[in-house]
Amino acid sequence: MAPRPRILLERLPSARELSRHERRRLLELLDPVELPAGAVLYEQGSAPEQLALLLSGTLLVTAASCDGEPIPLGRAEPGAVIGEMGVIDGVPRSATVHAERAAVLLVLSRERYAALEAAADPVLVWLLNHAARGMAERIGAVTERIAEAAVDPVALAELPKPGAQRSRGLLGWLDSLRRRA
Amino acid sequence: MTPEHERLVRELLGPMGPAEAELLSRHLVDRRYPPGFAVFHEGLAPRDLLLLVEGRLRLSKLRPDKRQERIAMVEPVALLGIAAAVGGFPYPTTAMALEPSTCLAIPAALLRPGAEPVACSLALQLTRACLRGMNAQLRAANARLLGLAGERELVASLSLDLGAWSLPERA
Repeated sequence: MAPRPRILLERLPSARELSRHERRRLLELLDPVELPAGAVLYEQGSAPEQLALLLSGTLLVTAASCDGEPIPLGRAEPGAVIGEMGVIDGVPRSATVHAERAAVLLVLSRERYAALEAAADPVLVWLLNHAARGMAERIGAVTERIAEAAVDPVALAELPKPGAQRSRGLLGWLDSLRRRA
Repeated sequence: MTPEHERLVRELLGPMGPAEAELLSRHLVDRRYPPGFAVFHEGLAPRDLLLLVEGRLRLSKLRPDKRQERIAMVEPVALLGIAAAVGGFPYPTTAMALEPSTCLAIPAALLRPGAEPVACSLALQLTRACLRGMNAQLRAANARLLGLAGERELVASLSLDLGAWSLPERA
């Protein structure tokens, strides 16, 4: 049985920015969800009904290519916010997300998001700031890789970044196509 | 802030109450850059979000072989330095003015308000704009990355919104 969401939330380094009262409110406002390995959280093309904060486990993000083959795009680890752009802009899901390993999440429905936004709730400010920091790190990673790719595009596809077990993504898939060809 | 700049800010952030608008305008600072002048340098610590309202900028990054690699061209209206201001780490690129350019500097501290409702409301609007801006940057950067990898035809054939997911976070 997975540890309780409260314990998992307290383990997230970024959640330490929140006061105890704010952490309690976060747990009241967001609904805990347990996903067994293999279960789908979001389906590509579906309506964005919620965003989620991953507390434990691993999520795999894929998107279908034009021939329907799922392309691995990335992995989300504990602390990641998933699905925020869909909830903010109301656009359909751009990718499918499923549990690679059994996961525990806190989920914020679109309706509750709208209510928190209207109230300018500090807990929502933290959650979106937290999502923005995650996206900022991804931008840092992608710009680094552009600079590397400009020097050696082949190395980009074939060499994982040091210490980055999740660095293959779409390029890894492209490379596997190249190898198959 | 000129009326035109005010219009551009509202275009970026959406409708804003008078209290939020007053709070923002109290903190905004105009900055003008002649052609060839760096708006910010790679590796320096950010203090502000920069809203480009006039001109054109080139974002570049130092490659391992010490040459500058173009990352993107930026035209108004665009938020700059978002990832650095939001993430609290140094600018990942250098931004150079290619023509006379004006930016409105927005203190990054406005993204992290206390519990005061007007400040929280403004922070939400700014953070949403930051998320949209970064999402667009990621799409552009990913397309460039895939182009550099020599896979342009595949990029064109994949009708994907690569968004935030095309490259995972660092381990």
